[in-house]
Amino acid sequence: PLNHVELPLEVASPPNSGVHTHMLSQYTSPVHLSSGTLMEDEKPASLGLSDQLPSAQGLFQATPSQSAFRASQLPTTISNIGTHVIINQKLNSWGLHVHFQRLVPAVMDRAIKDIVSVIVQRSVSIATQTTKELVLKDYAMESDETRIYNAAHLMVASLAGSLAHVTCKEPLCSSISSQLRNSVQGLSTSEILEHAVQLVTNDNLDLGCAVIEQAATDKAIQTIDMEIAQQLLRRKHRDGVGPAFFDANMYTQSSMGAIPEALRPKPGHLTVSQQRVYEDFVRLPWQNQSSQSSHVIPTGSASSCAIGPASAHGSVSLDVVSEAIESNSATHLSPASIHSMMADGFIQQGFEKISTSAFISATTSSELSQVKSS
Amino acid sequence: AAAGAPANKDRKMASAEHLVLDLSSPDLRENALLELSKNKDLFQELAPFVWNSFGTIAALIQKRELFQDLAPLLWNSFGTIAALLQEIVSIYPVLSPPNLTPAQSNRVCNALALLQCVASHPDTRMLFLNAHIPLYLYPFLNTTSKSRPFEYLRLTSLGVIGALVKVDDTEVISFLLSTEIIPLCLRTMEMGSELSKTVATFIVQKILLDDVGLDYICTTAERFFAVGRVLGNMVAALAEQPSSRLLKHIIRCYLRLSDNLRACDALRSCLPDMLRDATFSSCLREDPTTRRWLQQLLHNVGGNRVPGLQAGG
Repeated sequence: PLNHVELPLEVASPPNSGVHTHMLSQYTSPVHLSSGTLMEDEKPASLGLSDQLPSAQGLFQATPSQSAFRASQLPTTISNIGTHVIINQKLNSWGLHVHFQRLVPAVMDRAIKDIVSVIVQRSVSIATQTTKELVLKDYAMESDETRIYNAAHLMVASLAGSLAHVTCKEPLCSSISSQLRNSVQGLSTSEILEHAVQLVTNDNLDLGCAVIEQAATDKAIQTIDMEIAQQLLRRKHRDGVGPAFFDANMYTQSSMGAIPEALRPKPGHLTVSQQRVYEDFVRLPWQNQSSQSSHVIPTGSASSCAIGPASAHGSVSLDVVSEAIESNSATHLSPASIHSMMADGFIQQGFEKISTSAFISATTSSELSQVKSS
Repeated sequence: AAAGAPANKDRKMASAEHLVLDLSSPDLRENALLELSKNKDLFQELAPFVWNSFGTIAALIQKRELFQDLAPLLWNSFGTIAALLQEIVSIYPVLSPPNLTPAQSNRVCNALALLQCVASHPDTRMLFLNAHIPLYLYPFLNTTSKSRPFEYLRLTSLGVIGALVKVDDTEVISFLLSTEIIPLCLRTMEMGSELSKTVATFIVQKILLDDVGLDYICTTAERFFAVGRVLGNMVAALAEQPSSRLLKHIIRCYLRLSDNLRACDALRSCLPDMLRDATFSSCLREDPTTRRWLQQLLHNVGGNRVPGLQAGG
């Protein structure tokens, strides 16, 4: 356990490359994607996989991968983001409409790519671990593996998507607005430009969040399958293969013995009401949120990212994101490395950033020893 | 209804079991959350207690031990933890922009209170950690709205983390450090209410008291000064609005930092003067332990000025 927090003695403080990196650092390390070419035929493997899984006696009417999108709906190139971005009519009156129309898709693309990888990695690793532990615990008596996979899919998709969405909002907002700001300098009075930047950011933030959420969801479903398969295999080896195998260890565990009958998972199938707990994860997705405060321009400073949801982009999904993730992190997301990912640097670097930028502008030295002199 | 009567306790547990079962049903969940969290004798009226408490933090967290019987029940029953996670995740959309209503806040805090039992219990603590459940609370700690629903949410979330660090387990500390709890605590220490500042400082203190935690904070100047600056700001704020329990935790943090050679050197120049002069004399009059800590701290950093803490200054 000790080596979990072993830290490099010298942590070079990464350069502040932009406003958004400091926001981002609250949760993630400032890793930037190497820009790769898009692979047009890239499809999330989860789609194929969940198609192979027979639905469990209609218990699961809609898994997230079925309800949220279909393979055919996935835009295949990055240019498709242009069809989803919102260019507010107000920009017309400022004479900026055309300009932003050209600008926004590229900015959205860049802003998403900047953060999607780290956000998805983190969300997926957390959600996968949670789902693995809870589903295997709750379904210890379940003999039908399909039900186990289904429950795991529902849970991991919801958790990973929610975590990704809540985590990406702030850094994405900063990234979009700072990139827009940089791109439109000098086009008009700075006051109008600032209004325009905030308007456009506000209008498109949810689109970006939805794309990242979707990326996390896809990756999570893919990842959990490997995890569960591994665990089930181990379970079988331990208990012997039989048609009605279940996790006997779990059943006889003393802690479980103290659990009253009604609350215990029992050998065989779970009751419908028990299954429903996991089905309910489907009802959670962010997109169900109605949009209340659209088009609110914050009156505060430009850096304010407390921007209201502009509109719901329920089923938007771009493979911009899956491409970025696949090429960059497929190996990092192997089950075995999730722990090490948590442990070494992946998250820790953020502390350096947040402390640097938010707390100690006065310090010039990066090593405590240098302060020694007095 | 004395909490000690065994028959009464059995009856309460039976009803608790029933309520745990109700947690898995969306229609019954809200009520079950409420009942479980406020069941007077066994479980204390948790939420208002946290909010209104004037006790010490230790006492605050120990109250949860009344919950202990409940933890294995919550963990081992089918779907209960999954249901509690749904409660948590379902309010993410109202965090930013801040739209959390008091009712939503109450409801999720009731769920958090139950998770705190699980975090406190020796049989479930590591399971809780291994399932990475504390990480779902981090978005709550990252909020900045000062409205009461958000304060309450942050405070209750910190309570869960506080329950984890209470047991002095290096593995727990390592987990929290590797998941970036420190910046989140510092954030609350900067902008929270007095009570949530106190809980956040308590968490940082517990982390520092572990060798792994002290090393972590003192490894770089950035980390040390991030912590030092926030502690210093809190000291300055305490001069305006004294709180002896918060001061106690701050002083303990400084004292522990002074155990590290380089940090101790740095403290020579950045320890607030207010800790060296008589600013907090009256605040510490009733607290010999903290007074002793402060003297030790000043001794460690080679305080040349004698603090005016003794009677008469």
